[in-house]
Amino acid sequence: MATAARPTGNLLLDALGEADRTRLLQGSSRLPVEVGKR
Amino acid sequence: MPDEVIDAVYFPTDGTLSLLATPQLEQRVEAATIGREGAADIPAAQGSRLAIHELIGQVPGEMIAVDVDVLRREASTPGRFQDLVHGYIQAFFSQAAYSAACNALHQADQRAARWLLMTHDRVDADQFELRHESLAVMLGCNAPR
Repeated sequence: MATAARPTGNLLLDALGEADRTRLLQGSSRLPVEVGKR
Repeated sequence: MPDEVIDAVYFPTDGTLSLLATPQLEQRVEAATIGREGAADIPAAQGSRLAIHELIGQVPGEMIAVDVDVLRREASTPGRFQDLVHGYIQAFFSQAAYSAACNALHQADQRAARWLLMTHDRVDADQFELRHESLAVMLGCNAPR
């Protein structure tokens, strides 16, 4: 994701340094949380 | 879903997910809530390949799907992320343990209060969407006792 180094809103991810977070978020995607669905 | 291969780990940034225990068909009870403090299917970081519990969206929002191979690589390296994963797994286990105790010892109104407070902690809002039938599942009120 293009903005991987920015804070995400997730506390686990945002506790990482920017370099670590960017590496972890390679290939990640944002999805909706939909009620009742996986 | 149970027995599905875990190909991504989900980190909510808004909204919540519920991990459900399903002791029998048509009986579902929430075992843990996952919000912006954590991640769903985090045991995959330590090598688990199959989901063993049902996971559903509970409060609408957004989550980040992290590729499981990337996650395993990062979690296998000693450092900040590995420490966070280990700490979160311990906290998650504790939450599930207290849920079991609460479901066994407390009345429905007490369980509802706990669920509302846990959700409030995770959504940064004093109001959130909740379906009546969902609350029954969360509290185990849909199952015969």
